[in-house]
Order: sequence, then C-alpha cells, then structure tokens
Amino acid sequence: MLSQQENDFLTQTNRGTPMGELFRRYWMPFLLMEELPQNDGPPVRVRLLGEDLVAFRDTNGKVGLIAERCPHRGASLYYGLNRDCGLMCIYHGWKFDVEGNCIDMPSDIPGSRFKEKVHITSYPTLESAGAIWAYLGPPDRQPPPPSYWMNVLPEDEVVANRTPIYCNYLQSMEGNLDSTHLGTLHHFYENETPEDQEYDKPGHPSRRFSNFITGTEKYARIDVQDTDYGYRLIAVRKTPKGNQHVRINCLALPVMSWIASQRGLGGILTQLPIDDHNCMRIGFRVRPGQPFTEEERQAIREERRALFDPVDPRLRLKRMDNEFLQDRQAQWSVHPPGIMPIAEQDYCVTETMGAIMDRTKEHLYHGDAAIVRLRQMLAKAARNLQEGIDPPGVNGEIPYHRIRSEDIVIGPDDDPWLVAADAGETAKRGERLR
Amino acid sequence: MLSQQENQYLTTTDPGTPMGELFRRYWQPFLLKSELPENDGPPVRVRLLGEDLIAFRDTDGRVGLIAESCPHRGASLYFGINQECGIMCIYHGWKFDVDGNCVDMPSDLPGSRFKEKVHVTSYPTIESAHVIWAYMGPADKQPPPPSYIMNVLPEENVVAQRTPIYCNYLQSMEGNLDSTHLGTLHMYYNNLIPADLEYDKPGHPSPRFSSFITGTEKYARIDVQDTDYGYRLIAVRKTPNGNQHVRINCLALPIMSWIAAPRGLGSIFTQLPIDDHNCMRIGWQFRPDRPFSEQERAGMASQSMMMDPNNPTLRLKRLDNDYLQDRAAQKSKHPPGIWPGAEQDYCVTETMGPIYDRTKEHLYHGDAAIVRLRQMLGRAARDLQEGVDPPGVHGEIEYHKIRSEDIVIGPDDDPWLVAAGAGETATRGQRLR
Repeated sequence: MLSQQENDFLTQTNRGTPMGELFRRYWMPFLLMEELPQNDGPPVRVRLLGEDLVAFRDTNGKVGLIAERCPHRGASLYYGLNRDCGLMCIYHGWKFDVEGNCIDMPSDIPGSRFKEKVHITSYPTLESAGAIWAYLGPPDRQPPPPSYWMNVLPEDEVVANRTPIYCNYLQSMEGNLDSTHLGTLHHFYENETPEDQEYDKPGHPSRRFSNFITGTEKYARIDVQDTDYGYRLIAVRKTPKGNQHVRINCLALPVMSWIASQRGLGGILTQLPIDDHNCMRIGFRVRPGQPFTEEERQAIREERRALFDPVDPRLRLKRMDNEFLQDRQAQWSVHPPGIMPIAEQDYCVTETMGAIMDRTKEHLYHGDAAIVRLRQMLAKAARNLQEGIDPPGVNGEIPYHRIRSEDIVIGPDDDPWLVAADAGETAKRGERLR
Repeated sequence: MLSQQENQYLTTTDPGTPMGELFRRYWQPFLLKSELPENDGPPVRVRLLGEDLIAFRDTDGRVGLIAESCPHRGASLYFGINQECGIMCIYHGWKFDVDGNCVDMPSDLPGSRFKEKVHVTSYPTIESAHVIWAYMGPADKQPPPPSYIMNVLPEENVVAQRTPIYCNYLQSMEGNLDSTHLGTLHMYYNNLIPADLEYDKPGHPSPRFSSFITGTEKYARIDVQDTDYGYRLIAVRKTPNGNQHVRINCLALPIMSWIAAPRGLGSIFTQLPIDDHNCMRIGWQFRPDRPFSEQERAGMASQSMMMDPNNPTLRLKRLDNDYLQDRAAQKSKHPPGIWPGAEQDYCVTETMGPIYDRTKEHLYHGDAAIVRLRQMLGRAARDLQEGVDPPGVHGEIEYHKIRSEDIVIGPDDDPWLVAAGAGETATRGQRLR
C-alpha cells in the first residue's frame, strides 16, 4: 500500500516530474520502423511522456521527432507537408527540419532573418531492432545507443510490435513482473490433466509440462535478486516428483522487462508512458540464427491486425467499452478470464484498475514481492537523479545484451539463484529482499 | 434560487457527503430481479451513489453487492467467475462471497491465513416487489425492510421497471413533484375539446375529463401538506361547473414519490443517484385487488421498451439525438413533439445540465412543492449530521398507507381532507406560506 503522495511520485511522468526526468535519461522505443516507411511520407502523431510530438521521415530518410505545435501560433504540424528535407506548416508555410531548425519562412519580410531565431523542440532518434527510439533528455547526457539482445542481433532475427494500453504505465509494468497470476489469469482448464510427465526432471520442460505446473501449483515462492541493471524475479513451483520449476523474469530500469521463457526466448517488453493515463507496449521477439521469413512476418502482421478495431485501427479491438468481448461461456469451459488472446487478459485486469490505480487501497501479499521492489527501485533511481546521481546504465557500463529470462526444471536441492548464470554475472548475490 | 453552496449540498451524494449519508440510511431499489435471473449467472455492473459495485446471484440464489475493485491490486471483479458461492477474480483467483469475505486465495502461501483478514466492501440486499434493494449505510443502523404498498402486495399484483436518467437526481425528483407542467409538457391539443363533462361533479373523473381540466386550466393552486414521511402536494384546478379538481402527489423522504391518479393507482417512482450526473428511475405500478394479466404486463413492457436497439443499456431518446423530437407533432399533437410522456420529462430535466445550476433559476407559485422538497432534504441531512435519525428508519411510519389521488370535490369542500387514508399520517395545519 502506498500513500497518495508516493503513488503520484511513481505514476507521473510529464516533463519536470522526478519519474519523467528519470525516463528521459534513457533511449525509448516509441514507433515501429514500418509505421514510418517512406521518405517524405505523411507524419505520425506521437504522444510521449505527456508531450505532443510528430514523427516524420525526411527526404534523406532521417527520422525527425519534433513538437506538434508550430512555434508561430500553435497550429498542428501533423497536417504539414513533408518534403525537401523538412515539414512545412500548412498555416503560414513555416518549415522545420529534423533538428528543429526553421529552414523556410516564405511569408516573412523579404530579407528578414527572423527564421534563424526560430526553433522547434526536437529530439534525437535512432532506428534499431525494428523500432524507432528517441532520447528526450538533456543533450549533454545522451547515453550510448540501446544494446539489449534485440539491438545486437541482425535485424531479420527480430520482430517488433506496438500496442496501446489504456492505463498508467506502472500498473501495466507491475503485471509483467507478477508470476502469481499465471495460475488464474493465464490458466487453461485443459492443462490440469497431467501430460508430458517425462519432463519432470532437471532440464528445459515442454511447454505443456510448464503449463501443467503453473496451472496446478497456484502458489509460487517468489524471490527477487537485485542486479546492476534492475532485478531478476525468481518464481519457484514444486513439481509432482519434488523437483523445482523455476521461472525467471528480468527488469532493466526503468521499464524494460523480459518475460520468462526457455533460454530467454520470450518476449522483451517495454511499457512507455504516452501520458499519465495511457502507455504503449513495444514488444520484441528474437530468434538468434533463424531469420524470420517474409511469409512469417506477413502472418504475424495479419495476426496483429485482427487485434485492432476494424472501424478505427488505431484502437485495440478488445477494451473496456466493449467489456473486452468477454465470453462468459468460455469462462466455465476454457479458461477463467473468458478473454483471448493472453495479452488481452492482462489488459483487462490492468486497465480495469482505473486510469491510475489507487494504491492507497491495495492489499499486497507474498506474491507481490517483485512489485514492491519495482516501486522501490524506480523511486530510488528518481530520487538519486534529483540529487545528481546518474541512473544505472546510462554511461554504457552494463552489458545489457546478456540479460536473459528462463523457464527450467532443477533438482530438489539445486539453488534457483544460480539458474541462468549468464545473467547472474551481473547479479549481486546474497541480497534477498525479505 | 439557491446559493452555489446550497445547490452542491443538495445534489452531491458520494460517500461522506451529508446528502449521501442521508440516502445511505434507507433501503434503496437498484436493479430488477429479472436483470439477475440465474444462480451463478454473470454479474452486473452497478454504480450507486458514486460507488462502483457489482451485483451477482450466488449458487444459493443470494444476491451479493460488493465493490467492483478487487482489494488485492484493484482489477475489476466484474469479469470474475461466479461459482460455488462466490465470485472469483480472474487475476489471482481471490474469491469473495456475498458478505464480502475472502473465501479462497489459492495462490497464497500454503497454510497462510491472510485471506481471513481480507474483505471487500459489501452491502446487504433484499428482494421485494420485483426489485433488488440495497442498504449502504452503517451496519448497526439498518432499517426494517421497505414496506411501501408494492412491498406488501403479492408480487403478481405489481410490475416494476428501471430507466437511466442522464442528470442529477434532484432535478428529476423535482419534476415528479411539479403539477404546473401538466398543462404544457404533458398536454394534448385533442384534450382541449370538452368531453366527458358529466364527470364535472364530486367523485373520480374519467381520464379524459381529468386531462381536459389539466390541459385547459393552466393555473393550479398548489398547497403542500407536511406529513411524518415527507409531504403531500395538493394541486387544485377549477372545473367549468365551479367544482374543484384535486390532484395529490406524495413524497416520502428521501426520494420516493407517488404520481397523482384516482384511488392512488398511479406510478410510484424513486430517483436513485447513480453518481452526481446520473440517476435511475425505478417505477412500480400495482393493482391492490388482483394480479396483472399477462396481456397487461406485455402491454406495459412494450410501452417501456424505449431503449436504443444498438445499445440496450442506453435510452433511445436522449440529448445527443435531440430526443428524436418531431417538430410537426409540436404543432398538431402536443407541445413537446416528443413521445411518450416519460421522455417528455427526461427532455426537460436532462437539458437543464448534468447538475442544474440553481443560482440561475426564477421560481414562482407553482414551485412551492419543489422548494419544500429542498427544505426537507436539507433539513433531514443537517439533522443527521447532528445525530438525529431521519424519518421512517425505525419502522415508525406506515408507508404502505400512502396513496396519491385524482378527484373532483365540491366548490366548498376542503382539499386538505381528500384521501383521508393517507391523511392519517399527516400533520395538519402547517401550511407552508
């Protein structure tokens, strides 16, 4: 349970707020490269951390990210004309390049040099792992480019997607770092039947055996292991033969998370605030050594399209105002939520908490240890920054590309803290939370 | 005219507001039984007095009314599974019974007794007169069950319906206690033609004669008679033969109202706040002597089917479609050009704004009962703030005797004596002005 003041501190990310300043010290993915495919193509409206911006790809292919409002009298540059290396406002013809310089002001007095004094807010961008990333912080503090696993792999081994979530970023992040809901929210009744029992031994289990364990063992022992980049969340469930089923999720501050999966091949997700009442999930799937074919990408695109409202493809199809198209029959026969697919189950429970969840009313229990730690770490990093201490990783000191999640069975006496030692290299041992 | 402060005092009913606390001392009807028909069926979202709740009928048929938000981390229990005497949150499997106890927490530490400490806000409910009623006040102050005429009759003698109204409860209530609008808002040009004049004598008039009088005699003398339960509103109009046509509406605090009709056979309405910008009308009709026939029930149901076919939770005629007003009908049939009668009321009350700004109003003689309503609500809420219980919560009032009336009396008869059955509970002699 938090005080109202603590809740505000953690959930507000507009410019000037402590959390907003922390987020602004990192490169943030905000758009897919394929959403801005063409040089001189139409711009895209982007709201990030409460700032209204437009993104456009100029004549030379460079991506600009500038304030939406024209500095003249505030008309929207979204409607502007993107050509000849700049975006021209349709009101009086003021034109801005990707760096925010005013490069043309045809309606000014001939000979005037006023345009040299006019600049629009602009942010540096880079393209990597199928996404466009922005840095919204102080120019002299710009960190090295992102170097997560998906950033260092060849681009054809990565698929990225983007989804709007209609609530504050923090409750959505908290869901990514909560293992205890697997046995209810993501449970399928058919997985209660024992199958694939030959996987009940040390090693990587079949997906079916893993689902059998998470579906029948509602209780998981939760541990949190602090690391230099954030933490690793370790969820341990007993198997029928007395082995330990271990799932490991990772958090890299401020908002990058690795969902537990064998050899780290699960989704890597970030929940970037759009404003205090909305965030977007950018998700990456990696397949090292096995490029995605164009047919596979096309199939993924089709699958994704079905998740959006055919009337307004910017909106998710399943959302609060249509009760997430819940199927009450399926609740009894297929799975508890009666909502598909899996991510939509998460959106339902996190969005119905309210635009910003009121944490003065919560009742936390053992399963929420990683959620408590997330809040502590975010708050600590933001307070440190207020005192002039740089947040972790911004000086290139962390080998982010080595972070991996895991989903594995280990013996009854094995130590779950030693699982996935690659990532363990960056872990500080022995600092258990409780 | 009220000050902004007075207006806010009367119109806000969230938890902790004086008016909200007054409302919470009474059983309030909030859902039709037919809207929660099945044991273990899907729950229904309910917002009452600004609180987000869900109602569900458990395996044993009991109705639970609990907070929508799971006490764990706030996911909505609306999406939960209703089975085995409780509703289970789909997030982590926490399960709550109709009394708000956490009866299962499968993901907790084996052997932990944390669930015994966890409760979700829950309110007692009862079912009566086709409706589910809730009590949202302090547990030790729960009043006896509602005992209006519809509660004491056999259910087959009663019909109930529920309608959302898109404005604050008070302006909607004020409309129920305003007789002066009959001659305009509910007038039909047809009724200006004299008919059924043989009813112009002491006794119950035909509906047509009554409509002729209310349609042609735009002025009605309004009196308010205080009673122990609230008041009786007496509207007197002259007839052509010099008799008096008397209509009596009743108000029982805080928000139950009886619409004038011969022998009290009119609708009984309550306007319960959903939140400060919305309320719901629950209405009953009853036959004291016999059950409604299936045909009568079907007829009333079709009349009340005024919901949007594209979204049956919304009323069809509403502000955003201009109440589908028929401008031609305004000239040929009736002044509002909107049909049916209740929709005429919704149009004028909802267009006042979500909460009518009473600093701008100009009241006249016809609004005496509206002034008295505000005085009584304000008084009861202030009394409660000082620890004085509101009327009726100890079972001391014979609510089942309250009746409206619509009758013709002689030129020298005293309208204050009409409907003596209800008069038994009236405090005589306290005229308002």
